[in-house]
Amino acid sequence: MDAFLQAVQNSIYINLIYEDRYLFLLKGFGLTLYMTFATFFIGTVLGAVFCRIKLNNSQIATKIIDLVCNLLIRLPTLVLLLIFVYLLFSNTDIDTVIMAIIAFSMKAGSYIMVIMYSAVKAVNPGEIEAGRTLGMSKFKVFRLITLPQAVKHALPTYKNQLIITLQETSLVGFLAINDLTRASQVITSRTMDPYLSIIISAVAYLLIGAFSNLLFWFFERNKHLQIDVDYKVEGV
Amino acid sequence: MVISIRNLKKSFGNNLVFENVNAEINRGDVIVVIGPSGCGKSTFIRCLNLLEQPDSGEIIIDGVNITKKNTDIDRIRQKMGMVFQNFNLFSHKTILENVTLAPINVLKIPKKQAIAETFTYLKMVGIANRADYMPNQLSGGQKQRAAIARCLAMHPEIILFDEPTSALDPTMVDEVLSVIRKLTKSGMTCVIVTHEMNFAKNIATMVFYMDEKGIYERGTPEVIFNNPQREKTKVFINKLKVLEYECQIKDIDIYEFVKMLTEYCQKYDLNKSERDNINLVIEELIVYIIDGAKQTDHIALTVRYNEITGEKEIYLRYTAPDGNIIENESFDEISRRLIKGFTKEISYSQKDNTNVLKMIMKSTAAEDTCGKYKTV
Repeated sequence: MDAFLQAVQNSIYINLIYEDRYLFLLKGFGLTLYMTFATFFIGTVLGAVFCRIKLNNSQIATKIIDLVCNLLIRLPTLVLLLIFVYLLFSNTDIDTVIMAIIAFSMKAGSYIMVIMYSAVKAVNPGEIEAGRTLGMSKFKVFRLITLPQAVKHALPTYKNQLIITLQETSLVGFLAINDLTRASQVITSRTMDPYLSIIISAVAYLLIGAFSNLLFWFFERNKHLQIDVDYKVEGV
Repeated sequence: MVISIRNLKKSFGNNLVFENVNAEINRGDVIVVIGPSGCGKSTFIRCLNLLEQPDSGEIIIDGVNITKKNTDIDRIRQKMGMVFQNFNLFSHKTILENVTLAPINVLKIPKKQAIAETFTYLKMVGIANRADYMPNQLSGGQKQRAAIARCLAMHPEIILFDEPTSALDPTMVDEVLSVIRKLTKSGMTCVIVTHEMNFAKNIATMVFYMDEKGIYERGTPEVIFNNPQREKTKVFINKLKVLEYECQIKDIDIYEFVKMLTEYCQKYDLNKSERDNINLVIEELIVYIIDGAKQTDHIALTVRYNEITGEKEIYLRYTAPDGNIIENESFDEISRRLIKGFTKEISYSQKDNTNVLKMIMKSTAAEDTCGKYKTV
């Protein structure tokens, strides 16, 4: 038992404390977090824009969007990343991290476009008509009827998309960016002791996933008018 | 609210739905639109609030032509409710929210007042105790009544009903119809597309029968339901089932006809003896006509079955020989007796060189019951 504790202590020392290696891991964690949420935010905006264009029912615009999105979806993320960094922008001095974020967000945007588009299309068109016959404008119908239902349809896959984005960011290690995965790899190669750093990075990924789930809680709750709580109506 | 419709035309691609539709709808009118399925009833009613954009023609509501591009259709629609076949309640909202949504967001009625009003309407349609339910927790009839309440909450001047009971099972139809009846009694202007004939008869001030790409016949319910003037209306109102066969004498194919007759009888559930009687009467007549006519003469047969009264009529049109063949000297005596035995009325007329024999078959219901007792 003593020998085991000693080994753990040793491992913690060389993996985390010696040469301030915990800082290296922490920086990787921060970078992963930054890339994930930046990618997801830009991807969502891109997806929404693509989706809006597609919903306009313009034939040509729809075809172009579909072509671009299919291309982005079919290319493996790593290949896309390499194309961006070594082919398209090899001569510019844009930061590699930014470039990676752009590549990831285009890919995520394509997925999110599909998610949003199918969610909007899944709303019963009869309900939209019903809203219009009640005298609501197109925008009001979208805000009050289409959007709340589409959000509900989209949320499960949208949540998954965030996790996928999180995991895809680990590919930047190929570009010598020290994110969480690469940080643990680097430490392992120095210490020849893979257990601790890999476990730490795994736990960190799980934590980000759990945390992001909490973020969506806000959108998932049902809020309905309640007579007894919100408004006391006489004679009811 | 006064609506006048002039020369309305609508087609989907190359498929013309209707054209030349003219109508006036005045305050307090209850217009019922009937007709076979696919004749454009729903399209017509959806054109009235521009859910379908008509190809040409004018819809003038209180002096405003709404088919013009720059009309504020949302404003018109606020005064023009619509009830759908599939209810189309907002599935993510409770019944209370469904009804209050438009008044709060469009008419800007304060929430408290909107809720209070909602309850008067929910009480009127009899589902006040379901205010907190989601639409999918209600039965079809309750959903449709909620949809009517949602419509009423906008204080419409006219309500369009697009087959309001077609998606309901028979036990729930009445509860919805009684709400609509109540509405029309209170003076609401309504346009109703329906397949409920009795309801239409009792409630309408005017009936439009749509067929042949337009309003085929229109009139008061008494005229349309009891005494329709035009052929297709008669067929529709009396639920006449028609079998037609026409050819030249040289092409006549008795076996083909018997096959058609058998299929026709099976389709409309006529029993074997009824079929045999019709067949026999027709065969006796045709055999005689073939003998006395030239190869180029025409013969046309129509069998009409009235599903409501159960009456079966046979029309035989022939160009030769002339006159009422049954009363001819040369007509076989046994055949004549057979035909007279099976029919309860035979009438003859002549029009444009064509002789028309109309025969009404005797009901075989009495014989059937006898037959049953015998087998027992």
